[in-house]
Amino acid sequence: MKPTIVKILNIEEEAENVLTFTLDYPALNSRPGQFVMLWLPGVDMKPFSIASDDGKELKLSIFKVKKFTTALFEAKIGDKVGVTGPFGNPYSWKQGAHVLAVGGGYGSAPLAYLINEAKKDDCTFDLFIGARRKNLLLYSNKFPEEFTHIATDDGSEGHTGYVTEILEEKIKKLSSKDKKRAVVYVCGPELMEVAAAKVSQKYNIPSQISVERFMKCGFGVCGQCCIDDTGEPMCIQGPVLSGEHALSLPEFGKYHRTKAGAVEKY
Amino acid sequence: MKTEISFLGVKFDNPIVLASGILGVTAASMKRCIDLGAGGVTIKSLSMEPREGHVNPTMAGYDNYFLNAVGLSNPGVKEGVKEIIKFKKMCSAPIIGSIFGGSVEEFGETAEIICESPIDILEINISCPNVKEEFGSPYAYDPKAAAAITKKVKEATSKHNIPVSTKLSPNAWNITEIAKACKEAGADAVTAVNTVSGMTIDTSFQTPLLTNKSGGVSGPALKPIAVKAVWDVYDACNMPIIATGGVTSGDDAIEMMLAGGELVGVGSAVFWRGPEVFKIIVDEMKQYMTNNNIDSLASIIGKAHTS
Repeated sequence: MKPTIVKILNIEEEAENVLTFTLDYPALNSRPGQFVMLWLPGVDMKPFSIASDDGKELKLSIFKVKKFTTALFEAKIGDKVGVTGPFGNPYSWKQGAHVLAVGGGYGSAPLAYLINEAKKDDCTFDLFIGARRKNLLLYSNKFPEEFTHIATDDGSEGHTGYVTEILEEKIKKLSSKDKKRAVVYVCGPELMEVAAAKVSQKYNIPSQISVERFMKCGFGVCGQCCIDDTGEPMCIQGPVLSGEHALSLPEFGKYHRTKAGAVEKY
Repeated sequence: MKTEISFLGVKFDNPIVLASGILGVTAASMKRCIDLGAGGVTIKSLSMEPREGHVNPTMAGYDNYFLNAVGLSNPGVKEGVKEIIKFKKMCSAPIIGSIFGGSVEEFGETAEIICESPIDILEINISCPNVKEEFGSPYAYDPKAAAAITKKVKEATSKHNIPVSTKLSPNAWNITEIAKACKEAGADAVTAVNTVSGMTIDTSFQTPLLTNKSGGVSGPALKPIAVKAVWDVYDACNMPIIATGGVTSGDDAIEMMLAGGELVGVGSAVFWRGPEVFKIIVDEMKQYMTNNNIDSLASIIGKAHTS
């Protein structure tokens, strides 16, 4: 599990405080929903979901939060970073499925990768993006407008309210044929994920949820990301879980553990 | 075929126990190790106050060794006790508590608290090699310090009839002296060994890989060092040993028992063989028993010393 040291090929602004880093990483062999650990020597090593991997270049869309991302945002094209992975259980789909991708906050990153890969298997899609306000929307212009559905808390773009509300409206309008081939894919804040999983359940549509927990190693040894009550490490058994399984976990949507391992309620 | 081991009066279905520091953060993660074949578990070491541990990278795995400097992250003994209680509600397998501290008094205080929980045995971690800047050299390098801590912890455990195992360091040149000192101070057993100090340097960045720079080496590279430590302590002290260090197969576990281990700790083997490693090792041990007409695993403890 030696980090691969790669060069930053490009940096572009994606949304307010979100940069997309293109890394020179041939043959990463990742799948949508998986993540990598990014290492900046002397700073930290953190997990990031993969926004795109075409076999030549790896793209990560990263929101500036604290110390690590602040340091990363100071990096320049040509600088090197360390990468381990890909890790984790990916999203899965069947040929010709209808992908209902629901991203909250910065959760759209792995969903864009999912949509682009699933399209190769004749899948159709709708992308639902939710954010507090317009400037924070990630990937609102990446896919054709007719397939992109937006919700903001303040109504500065699209529907005023929750992204799960526009998901439910869309599901109601689906033909029975489309409903049968539909799968809901979710990545975002956990309470939004719970709501999306419940909406899917209500309409008997299977769902796949990306469940994030604090991770140290990424490969199932440190035990930091084990979820209650099954004890499954989310870096291996997750991050992608079936909605049904996620909803059956007493921890999901209720609490998580801190860096020290203490229980912290949502 | 009998794989059961009675260790310090506690019954283990098999001698393979989850070593401290790997996976054992929560009740559910420890219960999962039992479901996957472990005979018992050791919780990740607890201290009086919560700790976030070192900054990542804190772990790295290679072909023949594993390196870590997690820095003793834990939610504090009061939160840890909740996980121990929960574990005991989830299953009946034995659980070994584990504590560390910055002073003799702190070890004593932490022991007082953890002894109120349903632990079967208490391991005293005086040998973590990765917190030198904060705590100084491990107590496990000095017979007097090791004895003082063991004695202090025993004051707490003896009120609850909880046996104690002091965890030794392979970095100590005089490990048998340390073990003897612990035994005289009241240790019922020793755990041999913790990780050995090591380092990996990333050649691209030309800097140590771990943020803590130095770490503890486990995995196959540690095994012969651990076998020798177990052998020496068994010879010198004639006391029960939890043999730990680099065990990744049934044959490794048998080797540890032949050297004198009664229980065998398994930790970073999870990196190479997955969490199913506990059952895999036990199955391989059973195969060894069949091949060598061994009826009970207990019969091979220390057997290499007599031949």
